[in-house]
Amino acid sequence: MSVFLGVIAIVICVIISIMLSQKYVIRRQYFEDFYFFNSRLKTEVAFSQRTILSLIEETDKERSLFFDVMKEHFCDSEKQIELKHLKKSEVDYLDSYLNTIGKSDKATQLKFLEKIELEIGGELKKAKEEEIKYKSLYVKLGFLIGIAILIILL
Amino acid sequence: MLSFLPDVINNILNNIDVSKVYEIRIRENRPIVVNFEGKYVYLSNLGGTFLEGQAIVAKAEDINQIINNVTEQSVYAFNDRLKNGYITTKEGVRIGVAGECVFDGGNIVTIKNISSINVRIPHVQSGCANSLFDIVVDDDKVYNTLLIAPPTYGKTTMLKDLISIFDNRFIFPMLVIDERGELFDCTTKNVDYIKYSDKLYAFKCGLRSLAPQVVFTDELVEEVDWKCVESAVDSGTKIIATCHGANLKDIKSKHFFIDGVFSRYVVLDNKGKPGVIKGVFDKGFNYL
Repeated sequence: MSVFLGVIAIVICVIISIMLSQKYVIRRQYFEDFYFFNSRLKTEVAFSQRTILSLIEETDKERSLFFDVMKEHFCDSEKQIELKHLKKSEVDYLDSYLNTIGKSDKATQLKFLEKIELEIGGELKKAKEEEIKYKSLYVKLGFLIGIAILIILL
Repeated sequence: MLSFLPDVINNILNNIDVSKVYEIRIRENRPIVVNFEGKYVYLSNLGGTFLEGQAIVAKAEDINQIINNVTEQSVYAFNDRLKNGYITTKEGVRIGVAGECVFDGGNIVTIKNISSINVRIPHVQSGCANSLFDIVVDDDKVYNTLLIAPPTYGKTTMLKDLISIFDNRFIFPMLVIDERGELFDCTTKNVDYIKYSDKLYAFKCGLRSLAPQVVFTDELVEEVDWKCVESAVDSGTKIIATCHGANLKDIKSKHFFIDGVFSRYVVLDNKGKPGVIKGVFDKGFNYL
């Protein structure tokens, strides 16, 4: 019975640790979507010059923080967006990006988007590293705590 | 069609007969002016007025909102047209813009800080080109025809209706060179449209690849436009075009005028509606 409860405790602790590490998954996904959209937009501005709205409509991604924010800004969506996993500087950066894209001519836009591509590329790399590091750390910690509980129960 | 306008303007337009509004002129920090049945009046909360004090004054935010709405918040996608001084909505409403021109190496890059816009509202006047059709077509023979009139006399409206009449009457391929995106009609069956292209490219590629029997084009304004038309006529294609001018004498005096291209010159009149023909002249400028 104790062993059974201990195993349950391990499972619960690992699940909780995975849930706590979701923040890093969401951050990595956010920067990945940001980078992806910026690259697509750069291609559109350079070549076929479709509008931002058509790009957003084409990308129907569920559970994407970045695209939820895009839809809220450009499509007047009524969905409430939570940006709790982003730092204030990252929120301000996104705000500045949203207020700059689509506002100028092709040449100026391309320069801006190339600059963003470099910066977000760096952030994405950091986010990926953090996800690997902290996800692994949280799961190990959760497992250890579960083991500790099992030992106590035994 | 006018959903891109700010609510303050749209609410007033809902209370007046928009079919009689030809233009809406919106200038930053100045009263809004509309062309109502050929007359310019200020726009007030109650409609049109001659009293400046009652007029609604446009703000910079109103102009920005219009540009944002029309460009779908993507100015870069409309930059080629913008630097030519206009943008066209999906419904074919042409919006002329004025602001600060930005040059790079002698070439215009864009227009920024737009401070004035002129919304030209197209009106479909089905049947307004019926009499024009009888002049352009005789026993299924199509004459190369030039429509002449000053701005706001309805040249584009008549041309658009004429295209529709041709489409209903004939099955042969036709091409519309629609430089400003105002002539497009999704209901036509036998008409190809080359939109937002200069005439040199459109004539060169359109004639070669689409082999139209008749080409419709708006506003011959430069020497190159006339050269394109001359070349097309020489190749056997029929041309129906428009040109700004007060009368035939005015057109003939322009340096780019090429004699012998057109067989019919149709001068329009302004009686408050498109379709009013003042005079028709033949190839030798004789009154018909």
